[in-house]
Amino acid sequence: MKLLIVEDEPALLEEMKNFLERENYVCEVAVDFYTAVEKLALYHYDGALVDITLPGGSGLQLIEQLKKQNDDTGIIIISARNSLDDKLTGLDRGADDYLTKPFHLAELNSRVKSILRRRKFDGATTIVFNEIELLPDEGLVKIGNTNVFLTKKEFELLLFFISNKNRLLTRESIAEHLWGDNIDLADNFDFIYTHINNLRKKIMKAGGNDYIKSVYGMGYKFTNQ
Amino acid sequence: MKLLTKLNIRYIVYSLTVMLVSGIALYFILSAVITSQMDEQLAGTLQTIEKQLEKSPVAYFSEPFAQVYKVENGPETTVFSDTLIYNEQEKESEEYRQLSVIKNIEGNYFNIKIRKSKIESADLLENLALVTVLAMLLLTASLILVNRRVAKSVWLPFYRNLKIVEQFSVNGKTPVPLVKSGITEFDQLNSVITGLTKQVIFDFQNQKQFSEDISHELQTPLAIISSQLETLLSDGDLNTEHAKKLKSIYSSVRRLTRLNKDLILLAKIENNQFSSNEESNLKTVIIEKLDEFSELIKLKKLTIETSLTTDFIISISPMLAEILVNNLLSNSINHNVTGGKIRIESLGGQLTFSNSGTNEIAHSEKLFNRFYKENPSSQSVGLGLAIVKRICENHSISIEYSFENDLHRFTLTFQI
Repeated sequence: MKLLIVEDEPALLEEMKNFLERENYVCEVAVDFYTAVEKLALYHYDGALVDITLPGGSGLQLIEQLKKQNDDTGIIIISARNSLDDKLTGLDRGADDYLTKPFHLAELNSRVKSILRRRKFDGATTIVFNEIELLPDEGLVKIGNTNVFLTKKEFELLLFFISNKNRLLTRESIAEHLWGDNIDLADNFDFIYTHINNLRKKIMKAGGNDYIKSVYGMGYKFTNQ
Repeated sequence: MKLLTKLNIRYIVYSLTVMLVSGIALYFILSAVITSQMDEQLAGTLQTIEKQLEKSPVAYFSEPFAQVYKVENGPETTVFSDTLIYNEQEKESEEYRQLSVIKNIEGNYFNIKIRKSKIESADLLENLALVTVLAMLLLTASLILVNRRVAKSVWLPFYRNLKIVEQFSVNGKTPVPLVKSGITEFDQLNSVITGLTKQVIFDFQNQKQFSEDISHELQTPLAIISSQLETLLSDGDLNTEHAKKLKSIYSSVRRLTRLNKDLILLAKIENNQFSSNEESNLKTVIIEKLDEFSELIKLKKLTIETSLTTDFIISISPMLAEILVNNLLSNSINHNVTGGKIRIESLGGQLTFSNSGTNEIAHSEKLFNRFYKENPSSQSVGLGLAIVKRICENHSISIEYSFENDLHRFTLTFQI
């Protein structure tokens, strides 16, 4: 899978690139509008992460160009301005998702995966992690032949974990992924703990292994190591 | 006191004083003039009597106007005086002007007293005074009336502008639209006020822009710090001490991030950057949010009681409606007791969010202030309710807090 990251802030760009490369994506970068235009004209990408404010032009224009050339490229807008207008305009012009800075890398990863899944396989994929099988379209989870009945949030949590396997997910990023970044749960992180415990119990009851490990008391990791 | 009243009182006091003083002066001057005229007439009569006495030097009387009698000797004198003479018919004393002369006429000394009644002149004086006073009163009254009329129209633009200035808000984009009066002083005042308000708006906007810019500029560095921290934490090769430090850094960065996001949101609400030509039904939003929070509610063993009989359709951007309900609801989850309850009720034009609690908020008047935290050790940013308040203010919803029966209650009143 090949991604183009368009971002004018070198440190953030570097960070995103390293992160996504570890997820086995081939990443190319552009630091300004013209480089991005050039690269988009020359190559085909499976996904593009586009910052809206760029030297030389607007990310929104890039999206338009991209849509004209390759309709199947998944696009995520990354913006420092949490503006509904920007979001609506972006989605209107064909972007698939909108992420506001600062974001959790795990969140970025989960969004990229979900978009590529939708675009490349029309969503009709099952996600498998050892004995656990997820069917995102139907919201179903199977362990062997047993159906695991999860609530909507528990399903989202499991998907978030599996999309970011072997990586530390902080309680903050989990809370924001599940309930959006408008909820302030800082005083109530035991919510997360209880929530994760419920998920863990349900999986184990259906015969699955416990893959959720607590890390440094600040987050969790989904891993079979 | 109104300027007009004050001016009128001054006018009245001033004109009354002038009237009094000039009335007294007029009286004295007039009586002096009249007396000197009478004295001239008396002197004229005296000459006639003297001529008669030269012809036939005999004493005679004509009471009360003339008395002529012989006296033994001089010296010769001339005395003008006022005197009272009793009138038998009228049974009262009357005032007279009298000229008393002792004179040697043809070798005989005569004392000649001639008098003239002052009644007529007193009448004249009275009438004159009356006319004068009346004229003055009339003049003053008409002056005040005219003055009132003129002042009212002259001050009209002033009062109109005063109303306009009263409605001035630093949040407005344009300086106050003052009415031109054509009166130099007022127009000067207008230009001063316009200048001042322009400056105030400019400074305020500048200040606001500055803090907004800072918030926006902070987003990218925060994104870099927090993503690098996440990478570092994910690496796994950390010893416990480092992990502990990083964890603390990470929580602080997250708090900073949240704070910054909330401040940006608050600024955007204040700037009216959300369209309000859309309508949202708060009832629907509440039902959606309750569903979204259902796990949280279950985890805290809260019971939900809703009685939402009416729709609350208001013109508010869907995003703000969501934030409004989100903040109120997450507030009532966060500050609840385990096993407590949340009650959401609609009643007439009111919507209430209640949640269990043990104590009343100590400083409920500060509850909606920015950064107010009932519990200082709380990790939350303390902007949630400030945002709620701001959204309410911008959409003509009044919000109040109360505590009764162990329930914290937020009442939203809609103006229908």
